[in-house]
Amino acid sequence: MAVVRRVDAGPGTPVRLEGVCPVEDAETLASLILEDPSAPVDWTACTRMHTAVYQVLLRLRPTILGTSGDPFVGRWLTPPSPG
Amino acid sequence: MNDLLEQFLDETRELVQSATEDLLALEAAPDDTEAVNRVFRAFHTLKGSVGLFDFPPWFSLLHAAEDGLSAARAGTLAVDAALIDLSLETLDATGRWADAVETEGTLPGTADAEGSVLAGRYRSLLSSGPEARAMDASALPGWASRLAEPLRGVEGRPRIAVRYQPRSDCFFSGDDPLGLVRKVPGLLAVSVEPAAPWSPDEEFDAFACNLAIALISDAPRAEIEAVFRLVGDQVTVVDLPTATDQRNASGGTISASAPAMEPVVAAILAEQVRVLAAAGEAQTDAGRLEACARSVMNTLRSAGRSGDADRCGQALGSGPDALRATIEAILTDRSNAASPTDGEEDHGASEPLGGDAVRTLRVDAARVDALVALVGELVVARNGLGYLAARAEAGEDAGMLARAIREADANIGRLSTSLHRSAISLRLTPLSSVFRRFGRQVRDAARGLGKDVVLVVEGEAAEADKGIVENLFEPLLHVVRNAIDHGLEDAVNRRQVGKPEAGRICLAAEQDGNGIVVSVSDDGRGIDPAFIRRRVVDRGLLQPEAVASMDDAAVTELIFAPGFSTAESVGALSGRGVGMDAVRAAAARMGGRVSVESRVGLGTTIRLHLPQTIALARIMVVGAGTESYGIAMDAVVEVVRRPRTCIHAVAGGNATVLRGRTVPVFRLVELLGRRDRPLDGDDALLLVVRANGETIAVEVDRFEDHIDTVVRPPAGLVGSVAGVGGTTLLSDGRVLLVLDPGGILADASVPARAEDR
Repeated sequence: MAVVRRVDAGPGTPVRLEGVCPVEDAETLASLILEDPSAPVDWTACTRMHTAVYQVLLRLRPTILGTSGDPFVGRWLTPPSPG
Repeated sequence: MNDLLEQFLDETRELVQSATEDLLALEAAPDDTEAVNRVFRAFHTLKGSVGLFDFPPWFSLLHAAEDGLSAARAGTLAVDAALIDLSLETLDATGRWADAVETEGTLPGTADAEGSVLAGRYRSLLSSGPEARAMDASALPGWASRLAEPLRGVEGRPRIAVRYQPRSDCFFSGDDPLGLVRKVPGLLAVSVEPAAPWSPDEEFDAFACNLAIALISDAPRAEIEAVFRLVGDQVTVVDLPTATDQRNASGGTISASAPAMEPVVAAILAEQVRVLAAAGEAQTDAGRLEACARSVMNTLRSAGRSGDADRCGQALGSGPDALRATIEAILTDRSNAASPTDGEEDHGASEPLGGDAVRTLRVDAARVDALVALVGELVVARNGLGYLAARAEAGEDAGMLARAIREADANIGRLSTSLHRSAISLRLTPLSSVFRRFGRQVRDAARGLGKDVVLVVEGEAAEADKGIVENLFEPLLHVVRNAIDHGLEDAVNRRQVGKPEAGRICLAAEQDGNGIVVSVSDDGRGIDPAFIRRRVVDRGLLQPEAVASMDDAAVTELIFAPGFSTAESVGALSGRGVGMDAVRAAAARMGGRVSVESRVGLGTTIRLHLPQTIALARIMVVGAGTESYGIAMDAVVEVVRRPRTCIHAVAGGNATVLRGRTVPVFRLVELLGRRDRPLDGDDALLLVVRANGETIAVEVDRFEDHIDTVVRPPAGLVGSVAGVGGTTLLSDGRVLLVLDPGGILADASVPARAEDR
């Protein structure tokens, strides 16, 4: 799993995407965001993102920190703006 | 025939059917983009499955068709009569070839020529379509022009816009849509949007894909299409206009993509790519990788491409991604050369093929489950018998034992009845499988006659035994064609009498007691009894006096008489009745009958009354004279005992008043042709029966029993006896004739009425 959030974190602690984020991560990510909608998502350390994971960001529109570490996403896809 | 082929044929027929329906829908509403998509997907799937077998002409035809429809979907080819007719012809050919493959194991000899002619027509549609290439930005779909806007004015190579809308369940099949987009060479722009607006109320399902991906690339079209090869049905590819280069790739790739590689080889390779892709890059286990590589290499070697095979062998060393890329590259390469020869027109008439080939039965899984559960119960019930036997051996009191045996008997009886019902229901097929074939038939017949016809279908969910449903098509087709040809007036006449110009044919089915009634109605001119009377006398079928004494309804029924219809009557005043005796014969073969109802100027309804199943029927055994007969309990409304003084002689027969209604009374012995017996007893036993939509009372001498039994359809000698619905065995071994009240009445009433007047 490459969706990380510190256990002792209070509200607003960023959710970090790390390394390769496969399709399974979509659900984890979605539940983390839904639990705490104020938490931003840091995707700088993500090297490759599955479509489903990107869809979660597109749907739930959390605040995105930095530029995606996935070169394809960073180059071609606009970071979903917080909504 | 092997399972795969069998399944393929089944599926092919279904796809042909659904594509035909969609094409007809498209004909009515050419703007229906969803229908275009469905037709395209059907052809795409057809092509894919044909590719699994070695039928090169078939594959190339479907490939050409797919190209044509793909252009229609992208909006570069108009959805017009030419495209629809051609596609329908292609489906016809596909259907015939499937039949040939089933019966002969090979395509018909004419397939090659026929296929290439059809494929040639697709290609000429594509190259001649006026809109095909003269595309300006305004003609582009919205998504493409939005994406292309920022690139406007930038010089460069011709550009291709792709819209890829993955299926919502694509994540489950291991697809990573963006993963594919990553592989697209020459990317210039990408956008990802929700395909449908997110629904706020529903819970968000992270694994349902709701994305539409659009991209622009300046790579050659073939390379881009290669990337999306496996999701071709979810992708729309459009050529973008360029300032510098008007001549672009579309036409070229379409004719060039005729396979030089045998389709079966291509299909195997594609399948391996799919397997490799499905495994996910990291976790592909070594065994799967090895197996894929091996099948690819063997396939390539057997196709004489050992060079390519070696390339794959090398790629295997560098991991799954490399192997996949290599296979994909080989697949893309196959587009060179071998343009199918555009052919001579002489593909001749196709030889008639056996229509009676054995078909498989598709059964709702729930029905099988129910059956299995019942069998389980039956096993338990049977175990109870062993226990009873042990009690008997232990010398238990006979009375107790008898009661226990009765209980067990009742229990097993109940189970076997439900078991029988479940087993029979396995064979039940909805009539929609027949009805849906009529969309096409009506269209063709109407077009051939230059009439405008609207087909309305009702009650297609009604079910009947598979054997009946399958045999229904031909007689029904006969009736429908007759209705269109002779029943419906032409547009001019219809306008004169104030009817809408488009004639209406209604195909309906409904449950009727133990049977089904399938009817064909038209709103045409109806049948003129006066004409029938003249015709019958002219033909010498009946004496003028006999005809004069019949009422109009009975006269109308004469259209079913053999010898009534002749070629001359076609197009005559009310020239219906072509081959109606054949329809009656077909219905009789299925254990049913036909009836007609017509009103001059308003239309005609022909009904086929058919048994629904070989059913376990509740039979009431009644006595008439010295003999016993059965009557289906379903037909019996009630049983009453009336004093004879309440049965009155009225014109043409007897009647009594039951619950405020006058009901005609017939004596069973008389209906069976024995009128010599005097009436006995002060009371009459009346069986109130519904037959042919009427309520009648049948007087019987006694009630004997009621039994649950399998009624066999009448066959052999009994088959020709009117009014016999079937036979069954009584518990003592005697054969019981089961009467069909409707049949007896229909038969008895005509001569009876004639005599009475």
